[in-house]
Amino acid sequence: MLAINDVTKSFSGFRAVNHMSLSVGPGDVHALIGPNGAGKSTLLNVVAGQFPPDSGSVRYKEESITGLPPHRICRKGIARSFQVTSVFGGFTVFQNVQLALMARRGRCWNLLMPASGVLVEEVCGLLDQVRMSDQASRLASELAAGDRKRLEFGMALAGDPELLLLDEPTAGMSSGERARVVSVIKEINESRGVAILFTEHDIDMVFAVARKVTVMHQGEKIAEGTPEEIRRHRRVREVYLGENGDADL
Amino acid sequence: MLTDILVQVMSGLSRGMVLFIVASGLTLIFGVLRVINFAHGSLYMLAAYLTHSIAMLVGSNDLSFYLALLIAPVAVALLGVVIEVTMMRRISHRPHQYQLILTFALTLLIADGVKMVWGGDYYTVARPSFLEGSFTVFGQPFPSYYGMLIIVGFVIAGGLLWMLTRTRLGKVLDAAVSDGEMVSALGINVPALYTAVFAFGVWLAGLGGVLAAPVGSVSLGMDNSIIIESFAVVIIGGVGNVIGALLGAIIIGVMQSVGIMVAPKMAIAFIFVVLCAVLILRPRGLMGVKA
Amino acid sequence: MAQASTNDPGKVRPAVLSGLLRQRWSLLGWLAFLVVLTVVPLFMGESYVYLTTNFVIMALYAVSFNLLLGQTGMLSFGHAAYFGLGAYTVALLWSRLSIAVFPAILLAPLVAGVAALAIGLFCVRLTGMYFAMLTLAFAQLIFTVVFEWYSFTGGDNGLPVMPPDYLLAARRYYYFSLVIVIVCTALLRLIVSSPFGSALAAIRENPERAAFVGINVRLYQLAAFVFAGVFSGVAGGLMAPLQQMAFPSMLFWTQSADPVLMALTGGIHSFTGPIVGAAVFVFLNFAVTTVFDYPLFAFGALVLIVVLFFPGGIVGATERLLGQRRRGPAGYPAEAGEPDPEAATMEPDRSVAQVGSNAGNQ
Repeated sequence: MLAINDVTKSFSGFRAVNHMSLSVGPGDVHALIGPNGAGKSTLLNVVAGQFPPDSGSVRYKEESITGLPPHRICRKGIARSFQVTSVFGGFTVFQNVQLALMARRGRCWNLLMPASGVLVEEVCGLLDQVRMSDQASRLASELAAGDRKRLEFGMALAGDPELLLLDEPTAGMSSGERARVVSVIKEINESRGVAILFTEHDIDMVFAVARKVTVMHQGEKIAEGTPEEIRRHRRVREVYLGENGDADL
Repeated sequence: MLTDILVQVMSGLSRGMVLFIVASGLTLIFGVLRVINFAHGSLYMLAAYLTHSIAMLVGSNDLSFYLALLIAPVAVALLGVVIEVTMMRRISHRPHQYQLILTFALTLLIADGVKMVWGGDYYTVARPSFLEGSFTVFGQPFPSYYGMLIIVGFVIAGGLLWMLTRTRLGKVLDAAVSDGEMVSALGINVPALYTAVFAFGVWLAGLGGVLAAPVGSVSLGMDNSIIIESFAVVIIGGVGNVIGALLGAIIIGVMQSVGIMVAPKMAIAFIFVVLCAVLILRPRGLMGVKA
Repeated sequence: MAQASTNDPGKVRPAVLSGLLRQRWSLLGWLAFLVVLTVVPLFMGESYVYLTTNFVIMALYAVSFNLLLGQTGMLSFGHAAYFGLGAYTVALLWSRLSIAVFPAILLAPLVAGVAALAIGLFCVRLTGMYFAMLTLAFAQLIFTVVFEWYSFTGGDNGLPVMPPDYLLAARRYYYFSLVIVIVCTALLRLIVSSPFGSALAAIRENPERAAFVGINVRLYQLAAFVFAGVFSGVAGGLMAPLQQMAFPSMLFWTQSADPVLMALTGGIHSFTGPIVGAAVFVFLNFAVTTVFDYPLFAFGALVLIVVLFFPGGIVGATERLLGQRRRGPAGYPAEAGEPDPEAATMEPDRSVAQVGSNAGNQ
């Protein structure tokens, strides 16, 4: 479904991503792991259109999306969440999801009808799915980290995506919040069949959720396989134990 | 004909130098504090009025001009400190439009304040006696005072460059222009730096005001004309860039002087044509680095 | 809220309904305001009718400007260009082609809109300060052309434009303006609360995020810029016949500052803010000039106080005062769990605390 082919991206001389290739199939849950600065987020950003790659291509459903702007990629059915959770702080939870839904359905060029009544039932359904219904009328800026993240998932789902890019979905959360977010991710994958490509620091979470894992180091792919294979991979152990001794692999 | 043009160019240069002195202060403030200081032109005007008042108090002679050079820029710089500490700092965490509006409100206050104190009359300020006459360039007379402005402009440009590139303060400023967060990471007292830069920038506006006072006349409306031209200089040169400001000021000064000769009606329009072109083609200015 | 079983989409419904209820109250407020605007000028002297006409026109100018600043988070400092172009369209059609004010005024928004489209194409590529400077530069360019082109625009002498006989009386021109302003303001109100308005507010809140939900940020910004230009063109087109003259000063940058000051004084985070600001601007200005020779001083001081102490403007401060009584001293919305009716107005432009924090900062 998603095929990243030989992508390279540099920032003022520094090679953040170096000849990376990767593919995600329909319904996959694919984790992208690696030490800090391995280029995971950069790769996600290239896929999502934040910046174009220097070389290489990104194809989605047999169609090149290399270098397209974010809003075009979004409309093709790829949604993303951000490392630092990004929502519309001055909007209520309801409005956040509603806006995402309106944008996706092309309703945003409607100039003369009040927004308050648009797509209400569907928004409620989405809020329910990410378990945010009871906070629908709170301002997004007042939410706790885990709630914000689930709101962000709700906004991503509004795009009715077939592929979800999640950048460190559980960063900075308590273990309780983390469990809740993980269960929502699993449910999204199982009930909607959405493929997920995510980066993550927390190894336990990776092994709990992912069905396929790619390990990056200094911009390059050093291993790929099922969680079991990765656990046994020698080079991966070196990289992790060398730089991050407490990683329990 | 050629010599006419050359003399126009020189006269444009002298005009550009006053503009440079004012705009260099604006560009430093813009670069470090990220504030469009609309009040800059008003403080320039205030210094020009102070020059006139000092001449009235002391008697119009050479001494009064030198006293004005000493006192007026410092006086407006002190006012700048008050503005920065009591007002700008209060709202520095808010979106930039609030600071812009604040400085705009100050232009209204100062414009009417000047009118209250000095009335609506025009004043002329005498030039120092040794700069009264003119000298000959390309076979034509050229006012000595204008010649002095060109020299002073280049001296100040040189001084600023020396300060920015050779002193520690300059390096801090340079770092602040390119990356505000880095400076606080270096352990520098950022609020104090902001106040100092604002005061210094305003001092430059005051200096420009004193130097401009004997050129034309001291009158209301000086603020409006200089501020728009200074913005143009800052944008053309690149925000926070002193060499860029020098270049921009010379371009605008010369373009206006020569423009008046070639197409008198469209001379002012030239500035905005250049300004729009720069913003469209090189939004960071001629000497600006792409962020 | 971990227990999925307690979640019920029905819970959102009351919040939506209370939002609609509030809208009904605000509709009543608007109607009362309209009645005042319609009836009171019947009992006013001519000069006051003239002043009130001035107010309704400036209100439209400020509200249209706030579509950019308050709604989309774009600070245009060259809005006078579209106001002035509207004024000159009407004046030129009258002076050069003898076309009467009434059909001519229909062309004012068209001309202003086309200019806004052409200029906006360049401007929306920049953000923050650079956007403000480019809008200012274009406006000054247009001002200079109008100012210097004596043979066509009359230069600094201005260009006369007389309303037709049936609109010559101050009161008639007032009602003529009032109808047009009401129609335009109602349209702007609809735009602000429409899905399009939500998209603009989303851009104000967080432009990067807006792109990632599928909004073409620059295209929407351009659309907002054009709409703001169109309605300012109407305001300018109404102003020229009122003054019976179009002046270059209508295009000057200080005229661009007017809507910024009005919107900010009234409050940019609500639709009514700029209208309140326009009222303060016009009536206070008039009151001050009659007793005091320095109106700029008074107005500068007022703006200074508002900017320093009341970031939400007059409307924001009033809402906070009323809201605090309802919400308790902390001024915080209700705790988690129970839907807070305050926060459920479904109007993104009410987000007093947050607005503008991401607005094109660069």
